[in-house]
Amino acid sequence: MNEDTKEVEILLVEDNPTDAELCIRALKKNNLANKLVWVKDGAEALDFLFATGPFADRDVSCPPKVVLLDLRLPKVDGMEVLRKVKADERTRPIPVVVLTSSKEDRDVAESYKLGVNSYISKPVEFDAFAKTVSELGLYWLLVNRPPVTTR
Amino acid sequence: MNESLMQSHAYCFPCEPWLTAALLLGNLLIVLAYFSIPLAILRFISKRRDIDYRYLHWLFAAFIVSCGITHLLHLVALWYPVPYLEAAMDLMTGIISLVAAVAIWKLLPVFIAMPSTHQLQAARELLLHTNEALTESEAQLHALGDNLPDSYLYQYTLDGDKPRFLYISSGVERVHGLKVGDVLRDAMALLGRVDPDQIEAYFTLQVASQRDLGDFEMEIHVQSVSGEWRWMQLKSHPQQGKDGKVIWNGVATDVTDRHLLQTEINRLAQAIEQNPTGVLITDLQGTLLFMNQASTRICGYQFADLYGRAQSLREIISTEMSDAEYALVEERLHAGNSWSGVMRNRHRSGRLYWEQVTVAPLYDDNGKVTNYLFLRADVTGQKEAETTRTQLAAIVESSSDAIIGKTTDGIITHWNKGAERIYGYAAEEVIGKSITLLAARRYHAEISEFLQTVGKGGTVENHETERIRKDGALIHVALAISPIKDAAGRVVGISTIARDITERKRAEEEIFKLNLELERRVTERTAQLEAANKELEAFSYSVSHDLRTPLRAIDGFSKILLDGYADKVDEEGKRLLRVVRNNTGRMEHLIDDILQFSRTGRVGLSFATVDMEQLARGVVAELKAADPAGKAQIEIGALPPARGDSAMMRQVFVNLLANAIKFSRERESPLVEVGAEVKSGETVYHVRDNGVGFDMRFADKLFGVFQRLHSVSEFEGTGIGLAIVNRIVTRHGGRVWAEGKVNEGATIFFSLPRGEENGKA
Repeated sequence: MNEDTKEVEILLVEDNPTDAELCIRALKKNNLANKLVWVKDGAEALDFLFATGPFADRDVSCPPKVVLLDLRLPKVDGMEVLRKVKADERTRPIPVVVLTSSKEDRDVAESYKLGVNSYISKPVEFDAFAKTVSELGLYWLLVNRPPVTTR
Repeated sequence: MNESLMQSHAYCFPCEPWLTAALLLGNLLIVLAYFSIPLAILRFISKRRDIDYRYLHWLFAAFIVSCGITHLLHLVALWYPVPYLEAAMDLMTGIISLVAAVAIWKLLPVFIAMPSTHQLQAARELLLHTNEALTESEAQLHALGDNLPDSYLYQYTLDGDKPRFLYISSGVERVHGLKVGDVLRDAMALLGRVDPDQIEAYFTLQVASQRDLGDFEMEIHVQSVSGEWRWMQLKSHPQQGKDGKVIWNGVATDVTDRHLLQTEINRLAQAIEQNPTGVLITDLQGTLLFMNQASTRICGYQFADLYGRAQSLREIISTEMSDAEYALVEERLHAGNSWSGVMRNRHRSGRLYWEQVTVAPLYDDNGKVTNYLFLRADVTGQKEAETTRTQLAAIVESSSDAIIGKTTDGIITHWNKGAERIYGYAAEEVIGKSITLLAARRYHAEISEFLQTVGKGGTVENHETERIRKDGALIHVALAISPIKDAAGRVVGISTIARDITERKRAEEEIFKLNLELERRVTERTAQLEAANKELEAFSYSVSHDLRTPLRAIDGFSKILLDGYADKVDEEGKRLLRVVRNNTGRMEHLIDDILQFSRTGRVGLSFATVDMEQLARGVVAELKAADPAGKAQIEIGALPPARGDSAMMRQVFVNLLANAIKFSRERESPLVEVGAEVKSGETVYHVRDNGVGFDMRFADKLFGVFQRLHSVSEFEGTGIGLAIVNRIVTRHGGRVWAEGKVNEGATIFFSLPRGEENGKA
């Protein structure tokens, strides 16, 4: 895993394995999942991003190009992860896309308040879901220009 | 004598020288003597003018002088004979002598009447004797004048206008301390001591008395040498002398004591006259002798009305007196005692009044009853005040509140029945004791504070506190404490009105407890509700988030199966997978609707004036855009504005219009009509379609959650649209209802209360 983490393009934070699988499958169809790391809870996501715990040897200055963040997460919930990422100068520039089943207005509002870069509700219907995920993958990895890293 | 002289002269003329010498000497002596006699006569007459000589002296003088002249001529004739002249002279002398002789005869009785020396001597002796008597009498008179007690005699005159005492007895020394000599020397020694205010009057009277010769009488105030003032009564009688001078003989009497008495009597008379008490004096027969002004004021009768009219005592006391009462009066008066009573009497005007009458016998020096004295006072005011006081006292007594009078020190002076009832003490148990008796020790400071406040004229109003009954029970009272002031505004006592509010307090406490309980319950319920709300929110959140995930998985993997394993799954398998996917889609709709329904109940409403017509038109446009193939004709009438939450109202129109379109789409020419009607206090909006309609028997099911009147295969939907409409309208204070018939369309009505929106729109 260590090798993979060096040049991670997408950090997928998703506790539900089926959702993760469907998501990854959709990205793979467009060949966007090569440099993807999947973490299953908020705590792991923070460890990854801040290079702590199991990811202690990771280089913080090499952030992913985008973080796909579910909100309902075990241990540390998505909103908390978002808050911490956007509160820290080192991680603030990392684009964070909330990808969640929630359509609650208050989640949307809260996320934008904390500085989320995009908010996407996962469609239930698979075709729509696959389309949405592949589009956002294409956008953030290929269309969007990430901030210049020190490296 | 003249005869003899003439004769001798006639004989001796031609005689010898010795004879001539004797003639010369004799005649010369005669001439000298004759000429000296008239001088002596004139001298006598000038000294004795009291006698009427009737010019005899002049005649006598002329006779003597003419005799003298004849003798003188005789002498001359010795040397120069003058016979003619001598003869003429003798003739004239003879005539004068004759006239004088006649005159002297006529005057003879006068001379005879002149007293003789003897007579004079006798007279002188008599005079001396009389004089002695007179002196003695004068001494007696002086002694009398000098010894008159408190009086002195005086003789007085005016020299021009200057007063002068001719005599004054030594009483002046006793009375005024003035020396008799001083007063005789200068009348002003006495008159200068008269009250300056009176001196002018004194002289005016004096002058009048002098003019009219009337008696002089005056009382003057004279200051003694010792400084003491005395009243002197002067009485004198004027007498005019031959010379016109008026002399007054008088007596001055010291009337100071009488004057003082008179003054005292005047004062007493005035005091009686001014006295507000009516004073009447009658004789024993009841004849009115005196009554003062106050009597007139009280009974209305003037003295003149009653004077001289004998009245019975009873009549004088009161016309309204009963026999029994009068009997008592008589009994007391006969026993020599006074009687006093209060009774009604009739005023002269006819009105009745209350008076207090006292009748007392008056005694003379011998202890005999001579008169009756009546004292009367109009006590109507007092009597009325007494009545009022009695009534007030009755009110106070009968009050259910405790009314307590106390001194400014808090010593109880009055205690009514209410106080007995509330505090349990009888009046005699507490009067004279301190008010603190009624309160627990911890209230004593408060009580003294109140006493101070009220003692200074302040009040304490509606103060609620605790007191202790005689039986030890604690009671709640509301106190009103106020000062009792006298007419001058001084605080002379304190009144406390206490109301027993124990029951009220108990009720209040009960209410307080109930309120607390209620509040606690409300808090509890609110907390429960809040918890439920939270749970509901958490639930919706969970639904929103978690329920979709498995759906996505089912749909996703079914799709993967269909796509990736198409060659391995037969047609029937593929149809089944498609059924699975259809149901996940339906499931997602259900979830969305439930969440929306839940949200319409939770979200706060932001009220504003909503243009309902514009809103409806907007929704129609959206719906048409979403379904361009829709053939429904939608007519929107004039819709009055409403007050409400715009987004919610929009949802109402979305749901109703979508329903109407949906249920009328099978018609050849579907028609949806939106309208409104303004009624009193509310506006009723409606959405009507000509669709499948419904059976009115199920009308109440239309607005229930997940209630459906059609199968999903007929009309898609979750059965929550109208439930949402119902919830929104209800939250706006309105109502929702429906009318319809199977296959004849349906109309959904909703009403919204009317308010300011009309004015504003």
